[in-house]
Amino acid sequence: MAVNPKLLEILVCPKCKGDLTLTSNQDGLICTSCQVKYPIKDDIPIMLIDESIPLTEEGSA
Amino acid sequence: MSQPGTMSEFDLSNLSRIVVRGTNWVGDTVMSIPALRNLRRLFPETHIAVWATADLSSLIKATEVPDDLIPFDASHGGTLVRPFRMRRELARGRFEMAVLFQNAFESAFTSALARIPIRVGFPTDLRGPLLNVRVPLTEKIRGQHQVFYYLAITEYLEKLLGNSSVSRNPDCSVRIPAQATEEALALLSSHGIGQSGDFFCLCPGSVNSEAKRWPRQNFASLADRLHERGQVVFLGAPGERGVVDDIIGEMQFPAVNLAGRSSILHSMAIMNLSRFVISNDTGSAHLAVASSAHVLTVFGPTIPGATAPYGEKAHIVQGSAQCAPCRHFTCPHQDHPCMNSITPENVFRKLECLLG
Repeated sequence: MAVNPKLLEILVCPKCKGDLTLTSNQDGLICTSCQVKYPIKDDIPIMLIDESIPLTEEGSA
Repeated sequence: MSQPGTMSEFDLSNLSRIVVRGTNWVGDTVMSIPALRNLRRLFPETHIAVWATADLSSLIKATEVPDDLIPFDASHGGTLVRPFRMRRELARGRFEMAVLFQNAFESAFTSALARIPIRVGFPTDLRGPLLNVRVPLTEKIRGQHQVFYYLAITEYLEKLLGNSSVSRNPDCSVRIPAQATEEALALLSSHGIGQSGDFFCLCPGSVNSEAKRWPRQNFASLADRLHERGQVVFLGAPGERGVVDDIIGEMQFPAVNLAGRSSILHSMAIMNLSRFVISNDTGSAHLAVASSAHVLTVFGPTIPGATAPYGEKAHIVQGSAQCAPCRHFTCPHQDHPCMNSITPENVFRKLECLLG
């Protein structure tokens, strides 16, 4: 299973309300403005600012 | 000789495939859920397909009754073209009986074209000759809530089967799939609605009737009043997004506009998670009932009676005006008296009582 594509169309970044992009390996949604990734667990995006991962941290991990 | 429509010429006890023509509107579909369940109770082993507009597929599926859905695009073709288009698809289903919840001539005509041997329904819209099981539309049925109108069709079949009918306790709610709830939570969080926070759903639209719309400034004022008790999420059809933007524009506090963004299932899950739904007299109010949500419906030009959202969690607030009920689609008066007789203060107080 994958994330519901209809859901992806309507989700926004909880911080800036901007659009999100699905990562190539479908493990998260990226907000390029806020430079964070919202992880996807069990096909459900975790849209919480507290659980977002900074892209710099993600890159260095 | 058997009388037409008395059913003595048919054996209902060994049917293997039934098709139900569902209704065309959200509200009617919700009100026909108890009848659909009753049909399943009467025919536990029979393959039941529901033939209805594609927009309603997820709601009908959530009833857990149909084995199959036969969706069609209501905006495609017309009442003259559609029967010929649907005929082949229905014929492929090899149905032995069509149960018509929808009242129009078209559904009976299409069933006859598809050569479905047993066609059951009320003899409305001049379609009596196309039905061979005509459910008598008595004054008693006409006087009852619409939930019982649909139930009367299945209860007639029950009588023909020789079963004794069970006590009526119609339940219009469905089980919302867990995934839809999880996705709704994600959608709410993405718009800043906390999972633990109480929030209210407001449905200020009415696709077919301007007269049924409680004025937008009233919705804005109510939404601001509700802010002290929780956040506010607006739901509605895609065409109502602009109306909601206007309402939010008149508000002092922020609110979330999900009109036209959330699917039927997501909307139902959001309603279910909310503290209360406040809606005009439209499909959204019935959807709230199907979602097991508490709902307060604002009635102006229409009478709550037979078509009010049905259930213990459904409440109403009714406007009063000398000209009401008028059932007009557009109010002929400038000041929309029935709807303006209901103030945001009235609705807020009523909600406070209901919330305890």
